[in-house]
Amino acid sequence: MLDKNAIIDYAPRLALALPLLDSRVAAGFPSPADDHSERKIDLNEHLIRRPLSTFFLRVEGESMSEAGILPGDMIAVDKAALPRVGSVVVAEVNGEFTVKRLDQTTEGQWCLRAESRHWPKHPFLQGNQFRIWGVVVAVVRRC
Amino acid sequence: MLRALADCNNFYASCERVLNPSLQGVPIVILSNNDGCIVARSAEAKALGIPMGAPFFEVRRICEAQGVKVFSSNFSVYGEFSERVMAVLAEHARDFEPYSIDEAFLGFPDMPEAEARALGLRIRADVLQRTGITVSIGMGATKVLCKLANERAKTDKSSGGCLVVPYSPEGRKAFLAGVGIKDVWGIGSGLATRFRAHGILSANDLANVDPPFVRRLAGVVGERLALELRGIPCHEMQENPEARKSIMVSRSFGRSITHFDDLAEAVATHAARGAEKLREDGLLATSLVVFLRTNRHRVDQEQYQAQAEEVREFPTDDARIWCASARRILQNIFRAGCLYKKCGILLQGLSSASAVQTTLAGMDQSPPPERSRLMQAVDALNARLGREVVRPGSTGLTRPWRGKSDLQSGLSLHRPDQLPKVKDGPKPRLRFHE
Repeated sequence: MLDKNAIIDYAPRLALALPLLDSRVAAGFPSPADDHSERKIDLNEHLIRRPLSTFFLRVEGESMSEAGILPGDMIAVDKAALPRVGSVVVAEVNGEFTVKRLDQTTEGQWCLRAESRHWPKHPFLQGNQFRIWGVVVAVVRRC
Repeated sequence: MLRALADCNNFYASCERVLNPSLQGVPIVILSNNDGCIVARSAEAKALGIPMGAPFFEVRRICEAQGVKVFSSNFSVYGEFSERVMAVLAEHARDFEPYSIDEAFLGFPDMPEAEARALGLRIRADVLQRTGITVSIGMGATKVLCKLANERAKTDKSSGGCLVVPYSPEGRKAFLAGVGIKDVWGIGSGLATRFRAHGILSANDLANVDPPFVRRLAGVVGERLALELRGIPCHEMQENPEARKSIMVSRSFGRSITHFDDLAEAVATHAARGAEKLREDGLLATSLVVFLRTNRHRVDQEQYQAQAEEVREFPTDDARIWCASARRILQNIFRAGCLYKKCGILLQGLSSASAVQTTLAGMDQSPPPERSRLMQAVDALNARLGREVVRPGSTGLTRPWRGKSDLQSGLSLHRPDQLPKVKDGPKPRLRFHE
C-alpha cells in the first residue's frame, strides 16, 4: 500500500528558479561558499525586462529561421520596446501576426524582410502594408 | 486632490482584438457564459444597433448578415489584460482604487487644468502602448465629476480620449448643463422623473439646488450627488476596498435539468470553485448556502426555488468539505419533477486564514483551521496544467449539465499550447537577380 504521508507531503514550488549555487550543509557547519552565494537564475527576470508589456506568442512559420527563430518556438514580444532598424518585430499583415526583420529602404521607408534560405532576401511589405505590434525580445525553445 | 476615472473602451472586445489582428475594424460581440446574451460589443457592433444584454438568438441573424464576429467569454484573457492595465494605471497615480475589471479611480496632487489634461493623455498613451488597450479618462475634483467627464471623453471625439471638468465656475456650469439628469451617475429613471417634475433637468440644475431640498427629494444619496457635482467630494478614494463578506458562484444551465445527480454535480462544481476562490484570497468560510430555481420565464412550467444553509463549527477552505456539505443541503431542498434552470452556492462567515492562525498561536483551544496540503497540491497542479485538471470526483466526469461555450477564440496568455500564432505572412515573388 502507498504511504499516505508520502502523497500529501508535497510542497508546491511557485517560481521557476534554478540554483546557481546551493551550499546547505547538514549539522550547522557553515559553508565557506555561503558568503559568495548569489541569487538563483530566474528565467522570467532574465528574459523579460518589462513584464507588463511583454506577451508570449507561438511561431508557426520558418521565414526567420536564419535569424534563429524556428517553427514551434515561443517568442517573448514587448509591445513597449522601441522598434529600430535591425529589430526583429511582430507585425500585423493581412489580419495575421508575422515575424520579420525591420529595415529601412534607401528612400528611408520602413520595410520588413525575411531571413530564410527559402525566402527572397529583398525587403518586401513596405510602409503602410504592415503595422508593428511589438519587438521580439527573446526566443524560448526546448532542446 | 485631483481625481480621475480611467475606463477601458469596449474592454472584452478590445482584448480579443489585441490578440487577433484579423479583427481590426470588424464588429465583435462577446457572449455571456453558456453563450446566452451579449455582454460586450465593439464600437462597430454598437453602430450596427446590436443591443447590450440581448439574447444571442435574437441577434444571431443580424450578426450573420453583417459579418459580426461572435465570441464566448474568455475570462482568463480578460483577467490578464485587466491586471496589466491596472498595474500601468497604478504606476501613474498617487492613490489608486480599482473599481471593476476595466475601471479604476486614480488620485493625484492638485495641478493646473492644462497639466491635468496632459497627464491624462500621457497615461492613456502609455496604457495603449504597453497593453494595446485604449482607455478613456475623465478628470475632476470628485468621483461623480470624473464619471461624467469620462462619459463625455468617450463620446466626444475632440477630447482625444481625455476630458477634464473645467476648473472655472463658468466652464463647469457649461459642462454640467450639457449633461441630462438621467445621465448623471447613480440616477435611475424613477429618480430622474422626480427631479424633472421639480424642474431639475440637467446636472447643472442639480448642482444648484439647495442641498436640504435635494435631501427631501432624493435622500442622502441624492444630496451627496448634488454636492459631488459642485466639486465637494463625498466619496473618498478607497485604497483598501472592504474585505468581501461572501463568495458566490452560480450559473444558468445551458438547458433545463431535472435529475438529482446532475444538480449534485453542478452544486459540487460551484462549491469546489468557491473553495478555490477562498484559497486564492487566503480566506476561510464557516457557512455554505446552496440555492436553485426553475426557469422564471416559463410560466407554463411548475415554479420552484429554494435555498438552505449549513454552518460548520470551524472555518475551512477545503473543497472536499464544502462539496460534501453542498450535497447534503441539496438533498434537503431538491424537489423531483421540476425543470431547473439555475443553481449556485454562497460561502459566508469569511475570515482571513492567516488571522485565524495567529490567534491559534496564542492560547485558543479550538482545533486548527482545516487548511490541507492536499488542497495546496491541487492548486499547484491546476496552476500548471490548467483549470479543473484535478478536481473532486463529486463534480462529475462528463458533466452533461454544463453550459456550452462553443465560440471560444481558444487563445490563452497562460497556456503554452494556446498562445496566439505568428505566421510567415505573404511570400514575395522572387526577383530575377536572386
